[in-house]
Amino acid sequence: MTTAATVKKSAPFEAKPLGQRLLASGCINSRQLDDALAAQSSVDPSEINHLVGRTLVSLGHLTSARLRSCLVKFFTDECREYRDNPSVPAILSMKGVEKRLDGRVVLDGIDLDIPEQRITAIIGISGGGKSVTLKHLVGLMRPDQGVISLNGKNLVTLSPSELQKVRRRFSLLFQGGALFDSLNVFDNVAFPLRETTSIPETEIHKRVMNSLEEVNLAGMEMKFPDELSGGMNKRAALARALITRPEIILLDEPTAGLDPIIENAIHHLICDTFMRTRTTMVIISHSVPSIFKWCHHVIVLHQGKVRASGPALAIQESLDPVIRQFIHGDVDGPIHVL
Amino acid sequence: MLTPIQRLGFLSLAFVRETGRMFIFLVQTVVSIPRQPWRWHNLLKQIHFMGMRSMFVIALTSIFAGMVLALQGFYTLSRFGSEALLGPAVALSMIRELGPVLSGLMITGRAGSAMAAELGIMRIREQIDALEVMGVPPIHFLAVPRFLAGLVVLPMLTVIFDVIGIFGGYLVAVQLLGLSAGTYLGGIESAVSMHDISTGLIKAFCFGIVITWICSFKGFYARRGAEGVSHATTSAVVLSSVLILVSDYFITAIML
Repeated sequence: MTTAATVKKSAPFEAKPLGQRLLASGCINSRQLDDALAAQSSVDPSEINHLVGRTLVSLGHLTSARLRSCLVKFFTDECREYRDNPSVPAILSMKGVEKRLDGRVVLDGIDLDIPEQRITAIIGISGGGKSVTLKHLVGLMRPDQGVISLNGKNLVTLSPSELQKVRRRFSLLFQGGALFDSLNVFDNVAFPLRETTSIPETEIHKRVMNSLEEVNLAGMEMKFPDELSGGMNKRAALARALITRPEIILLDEPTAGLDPIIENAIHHLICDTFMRTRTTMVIISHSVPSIFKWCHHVIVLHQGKVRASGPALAIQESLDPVIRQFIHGDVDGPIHVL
Repeated sequence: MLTPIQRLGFLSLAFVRETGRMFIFLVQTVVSIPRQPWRWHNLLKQIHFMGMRSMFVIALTSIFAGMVLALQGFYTLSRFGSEALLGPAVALSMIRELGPVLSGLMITGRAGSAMAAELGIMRIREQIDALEVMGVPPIHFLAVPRFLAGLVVLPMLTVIFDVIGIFGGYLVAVQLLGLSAGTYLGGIESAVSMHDISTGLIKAFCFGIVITWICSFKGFYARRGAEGVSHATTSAVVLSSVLILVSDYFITAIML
């Protein structure tokens, strides 16, 4: 296991394009990849990696299930590589962050690093400061003390207008989705594009429909949030979080309150999105131990402090009694709940 | 356990803090008005909600207010043989006082409460936080259209209230009590000046500020779930209503 301090500044991770990885792993042959690339000849070059999987499925060269299993395999391989070599530059950091709310210490000198182009999970018992940490990372809360930096730039000292610009590099999937009740699914997903960009409406329409298709909500665009199930609501919120192609996506309990099948589907969706976009993601999750399978890096928060931080596979094997109790969900142990 | 003195100090500090936050919110709203992009659609939606959808309530309230004013006024004035002054009495009461005040109170009850509840629900469901994270300033997006709508709608509804109220008085005075139409209307024409009309409109404009400012603020900073929203809505309506009556006195005193 490594500590937060071992996430060092180094060259950013270079992943092979998805089509090349599918070819190298034997999921497809070179003729099928050529077909897919030819079918994407009219696609914007930056979109080719993003859309190649879907194109292969639409051409019948790959089933959706096969594509999903290939992506999970690639992701698992990456997580193993990350365990052996966790030297990845940190895009976001917190140093000595303290926060009191209503006189109670919620964050007690948090030091953490979020590795770039990796999925990081923040776990810990309820009330341990996970959501507050997430709100600090995106600038929704200001710490009483400490530094929060994005690519070395201190977010705490930014003016409101500077912070507003910086926030456009983030997306946050709220625990309850936070979709606007007065807008339908299409308008909710289109909202950040309409409000923060000057993209023409025809392009917005195309991107929203693509985004809804990616989260399996095609045909649901005219529904209002109160007409959607919990899982659909989360997926619509995920589509809205992804539509602006942010550099960092923060997800606050994306699977809370969902059944195991939908929970698994959301995890697949996150993995799929990551493999296509390689966006830095931070997930707060209570889905322990399953979350260890879906992230590279894990940060364990306990009593307002970072208890452990490091590659997911290393943390999972930790002998720390607090972490063992949390992973196994034991009632008895160092964490007193009863 | 707090002593009475400590409690008084605590309440005083809380009052000063809340008042300060309210004024900061007002300044932030006013400063955000000229900022682009201008969201005309949001503004029109709010004008429709506060104005068009309040028309029925305003019409109903104003006609009965005018009718009861004429009825009471007639019996009072007839004691002094001054029934001819009924038209001016109804019109001046409506234009200078009842029109803006009752319109303000009715809009507070109908639109202000809905505004506080809507923003409160947006707050507790993290939709306001979502706006901030998307880089959309929530005050500019949510408070400014409501504030501008209040400035436009209140004077317009007040004019409508005045006209319907005077017509209500006409119905009672002329159709029920037998006063001649010429006496009722002619008196109004000679007694009502532009100063009276502008006083009423200035009051309506100020009440528009008060209602949208207080109700937006209370909704914007609602806390602690459904109970918090209910508390925010109640306090928005109570505080707006009280401030309408208090500011009415001061505006009247200044403009007399």
